[in-house]
Amino acid sequence: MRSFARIAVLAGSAAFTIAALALEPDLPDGEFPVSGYRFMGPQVQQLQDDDFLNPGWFAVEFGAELWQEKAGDRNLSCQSCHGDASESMRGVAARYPQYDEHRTGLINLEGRINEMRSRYMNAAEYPLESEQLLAITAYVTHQANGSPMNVDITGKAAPYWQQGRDLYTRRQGQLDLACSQCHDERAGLMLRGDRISQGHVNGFPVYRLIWRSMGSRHRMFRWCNWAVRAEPHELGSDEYLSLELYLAWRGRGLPIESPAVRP
Amino acid sequence: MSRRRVLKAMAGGVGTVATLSVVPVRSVSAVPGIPYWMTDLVVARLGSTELAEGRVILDLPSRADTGLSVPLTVSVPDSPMTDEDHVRSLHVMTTRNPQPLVTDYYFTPASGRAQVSQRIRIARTQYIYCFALMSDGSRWMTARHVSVSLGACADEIFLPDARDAARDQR
Amino acid sequence: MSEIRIRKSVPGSVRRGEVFEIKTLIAHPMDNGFMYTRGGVRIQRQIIHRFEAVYNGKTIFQADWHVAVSTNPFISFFAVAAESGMIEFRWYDDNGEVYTDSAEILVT
Ligand code: HEC
Ligand code: HEC
Repeated sequence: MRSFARIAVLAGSAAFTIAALALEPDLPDGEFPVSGYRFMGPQVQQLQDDDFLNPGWFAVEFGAELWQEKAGDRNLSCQSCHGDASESMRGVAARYPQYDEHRTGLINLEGRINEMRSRYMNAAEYPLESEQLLAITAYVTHQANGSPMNVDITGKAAPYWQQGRDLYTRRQGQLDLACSQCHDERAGLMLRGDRISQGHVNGFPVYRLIWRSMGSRHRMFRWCNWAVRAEPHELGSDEYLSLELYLAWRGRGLPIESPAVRP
Repeated sequence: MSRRRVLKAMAGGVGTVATLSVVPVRSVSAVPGIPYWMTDLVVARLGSTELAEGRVILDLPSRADTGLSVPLTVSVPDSPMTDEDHVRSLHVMTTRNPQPLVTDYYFTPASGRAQVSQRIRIARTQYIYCFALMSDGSRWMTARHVSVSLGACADEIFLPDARDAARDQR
Repeated sequence: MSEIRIRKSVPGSVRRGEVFEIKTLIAHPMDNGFMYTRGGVRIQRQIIHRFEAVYNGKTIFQADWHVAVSTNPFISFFAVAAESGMIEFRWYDDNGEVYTDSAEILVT
């Protein structure tokens, strides 16, 4: 309740209000985990469901082209080693992020793909949040469509999971709100024009209408950090990798949805 | 044609019903008169603001999930779309978007059916109008009210998220 | 994406005289000129302001688009099957470029 009062104080200047609207009858209540898809209105759901309208397909199609594009000193493409992605990449995205012995740290799908470029292909890594990286990630993720998220948080991954959980539950920013206060306690309520979902990562990289483009999980975290006037971390930072691991675990069992569209 | 209602735009503020009923209307129409500043836009497209209400169907959700992508379908289902009798054009306008024009559609008999669907941006809760010009020179109109839940800070939908623009981060 | 991506849907074959639906989608930001970058710089208006469908050389449908048309403009409209041939689509960008694509149609 404390944070509600705080938000009300800031409302006028910051254009940031939580309207405590009653849950709509068709919204999931008491169910967990529930995909962000089910918190969207039917007009936005249609954008995801209709293959013709879904702009995420442009990214997946571009990713399919990149999969076959030869690059680097060795003139290799992803396909040269992995062949048909629908076989070799099936379900892979559902297991990321994961602990990587090589890096002695966490690696997410974007990181793995870039590692392929630098280590195996001798090609330049794609910049984070570039059209290319989002597209190839969306393409690989699409091969896991329907696979339940299932990350490993045991062994060396355990401390990262712990760090992610701390980040998720820690109050932060001028609004002094933790991720959990929106995505666990207020899921289903309206925040400005957005209906707060349970904050799952099963659709990423998603096409977000307000971005007018695809965006990664880390870009979403930055957006949420800004929303509470907290200083965001860097894309690809250890903090976000831990948060990503925690969220993937938190939503374990939720099927990967790709390409997903969000408002 | 006894229910035909001729509307004439008169100078008046947005939201005032600026209509001139030539034939007495039985029930109060749900279609508001067009705002005075829209008259030039209408005249430029239809030649006049002598408009009858009806024939045009504007299909739009009464509540938009997001103002960024609102499904819109406009049609004149009763037009045979023949050489002698077809819809020449349909024009969609808004009252409270930063700019009133949305789309202008131009048909030919080869269009077969006067029906178009698109996705449009609606900045805030407001009326959307659709005007039709027929091959016989007659003009028709309709309007629908749309509410947008992204209302608290409606301008924001016409801004990118100011705190986040990936193109600046790279 | 440097290259413009287009999606289209036209039935492969239709009977003469039949009215059929055509759908197209083009990847385009439709910058409406009201937006600013994070640095506060206004993003110039750049939209596709006209769309045309040309059936065997004859313009059968045209749309003028304004800034209220959503990003990645989608359109669905209709045509009457006359002769087998080509339906060409043209999108006119504010920057002067014209993007084109076409679909074959078989009239039986
Ligand atoms: C002030 C409330 C608020 C807080 C605090 C907040 N978010 Fe969000 N978050 C939102 C809103 C609003 C959205 C967009 C609508 C939606 O999908 O929930 C969102 C979306 C998301 C999504 C995308 C969900 C989907 O289905 O696409 C993820 C993931 C997410 N948030 C994670 C986080 C994380 C991690 C934190 C903490 C760093 C956080 N959020 C803190 C409000 C919040
Ligand atoms: C020279 C051969 C080679 C090329 C080229 C290559 N890979 Fe790989 N890839 C491998 C090998 C070997 C592994 C397994 C060992 C490892 O992870 O290092 C692997 C693993 C992966 C994984 C992890 C699979 C899992 O189960 O966790 C992904 C994802 C992947 N590659 C994607 C790509 C993409 C995308 C490209 C193109 C940008 C690519 N690879 C190019 C050889 C290659």
